[in-house]
Amino acid sequence: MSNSNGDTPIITVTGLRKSFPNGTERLVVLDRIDLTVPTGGVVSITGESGSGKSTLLALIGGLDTPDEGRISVAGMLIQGMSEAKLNHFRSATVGLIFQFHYLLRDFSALENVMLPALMQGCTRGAAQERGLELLNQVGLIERKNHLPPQLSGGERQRIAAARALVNDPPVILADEPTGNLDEGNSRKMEETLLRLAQENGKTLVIATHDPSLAAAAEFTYILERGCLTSR
Amino acid sequence: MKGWLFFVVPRFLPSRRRGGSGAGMLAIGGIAIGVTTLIVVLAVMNGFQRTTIESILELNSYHIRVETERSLQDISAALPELSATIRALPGVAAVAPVVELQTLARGFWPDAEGIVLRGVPENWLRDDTAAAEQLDIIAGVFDLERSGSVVLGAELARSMGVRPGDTIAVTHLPGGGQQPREERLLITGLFRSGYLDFDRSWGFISLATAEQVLAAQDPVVLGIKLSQQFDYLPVQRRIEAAVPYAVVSWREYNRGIFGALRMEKSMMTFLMGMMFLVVGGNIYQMLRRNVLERREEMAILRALGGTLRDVRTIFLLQGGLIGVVGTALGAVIGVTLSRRVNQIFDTLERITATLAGGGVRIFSPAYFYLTEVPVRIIPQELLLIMAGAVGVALGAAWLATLNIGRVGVQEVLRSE
Repeated sequence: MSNSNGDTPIITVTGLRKSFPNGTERLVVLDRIDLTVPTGGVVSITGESGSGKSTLLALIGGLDTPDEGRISVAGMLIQGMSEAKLNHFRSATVGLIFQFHYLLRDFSALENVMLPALMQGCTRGAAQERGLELLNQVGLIERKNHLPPQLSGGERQRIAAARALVNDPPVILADEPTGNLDEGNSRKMEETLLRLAQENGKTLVIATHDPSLAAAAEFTYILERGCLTSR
Repeated sequence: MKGWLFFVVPRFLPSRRRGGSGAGMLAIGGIAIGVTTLIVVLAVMNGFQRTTIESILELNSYHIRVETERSLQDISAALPELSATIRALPGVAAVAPVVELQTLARGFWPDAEGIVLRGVPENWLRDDTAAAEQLDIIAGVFDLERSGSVVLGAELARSMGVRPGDTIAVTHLPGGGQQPREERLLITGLFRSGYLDFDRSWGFISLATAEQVLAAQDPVVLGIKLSQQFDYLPVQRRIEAAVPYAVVSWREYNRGIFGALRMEKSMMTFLMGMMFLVVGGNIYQMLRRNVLERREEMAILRALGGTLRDVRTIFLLQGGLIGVVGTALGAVIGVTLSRRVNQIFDTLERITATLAGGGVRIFSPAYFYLTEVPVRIIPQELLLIMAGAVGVALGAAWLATLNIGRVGVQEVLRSE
């Protein structure tokens, strides 16, 4: 299944298959999926728990490797990339936001946001400047020196969103970004994500259970029994 | 090395976690104690060995020996020219003909003791300043000019019950014959060499006394001192080319005892070095725990673009940091302790004297043949110890990181 609105696709997934060992057999989670995401588009993927949404995002983000199929992001084919290229891809081309914030516990909010920029070779000063700018965008500038345990769940997720944007990647992959948040924080996160994507001209792919967040996307897909269908 | 790793390492230290601070300090302390102990033990051991070696080289074996195998009587006419020939060679600092006589001697007590009388030129100590430095004249003077005079080892004099001004009766075999004869020698001085064997069995006499009074037939050895004792080979070759006698270097002559000293030091270094195994094990455990505790964070770093190598490097840098801090601490304490070991013993003795009323001599001259602990720090050895300690820490860190990366990033993040 594909989406095409005439814009240049930034993500192209073709014939993607992924299975996991399940006792003596293999459990097929994604069964020859096709997906095209236009540049600057906001796409949501919904489905039951265990339907493979996170797996799909992990494959697009280069965190896992498919059994079959091709994934191209921003003109780069992920399959066959060397480890160094894949690391650069993860750092520069995609920004990842997880269901759990996955901030580093011993780093302040600002340091967490700065880190991917430092990994990209930015100077400390430039990384700090960019980090402060993003913390300002997510409304947490006054929390810059707080460690993750000193922040609320919603604040942590917004900082994770800022971190995903620090290297200015063209694609943001958000895996259940509101999954661990209460209603109020979920709406705030939804607003932050969509605003950040729009203000920064990013392509946003969201895997979510959250009907409100899914409905806010331009394109919505349902992942069911390994197959992706457009809603 | 990537700059961002230095941003991460301080924040990934075990001390940032509960209980981690103690573990980190323990690891650093372990390295420091190991380095301190090794430095102090080897410094004291080097000091003792140097005292022994210098006594042997300066007084007994010399740097090079020319073994003439001819008696004083046979060679005395040729000795001045022979000595002058050798003395003129580059690298030679002093030449002294020596004869060694095995005799029996009696002092105040009726029992005779076996002693070695070394016949040396009367001006020996004026020419051989290194030997003069080695010999501490503790009573009387080193005066061999008067025929029939002797300078005795202090311990020998003590056991014979004599002092300067007294005489000893020396029983010898004149001319190497069968008929023993007894001569009386006048004690002009007592010496200490720092080497007990010499002090309790040696006496110095002049060559003239050896030849005329004791009619020595023992072979003459030319004892040669070099300006650079370790650079003996070229000088040895020059001497071999200049004289028709056997030429033996200090290394060949003392092979047995120096080999034993080297073996003793190697074994001590090895045994003391074993403590680094324990220290290494401690660092390994601490870093392994840190690796396990930070499994999720390592996966995050990799998800953000860090390589497996980067993540391993973080823990290697931690191991290196522990090693460098512990080693630096240990080196400072070790060198300070070594340099002040005698003051420390003095202080301890004073404390025990105050507490117990009597005091305890830690290195009592009554039991140990020294008045103070000799210490020698060899810079190369110090560097080797420090490099070894840092190496152990790095090795332990490397072992701790071996299993990193067996589980994929996505698997870790999913399981968390």
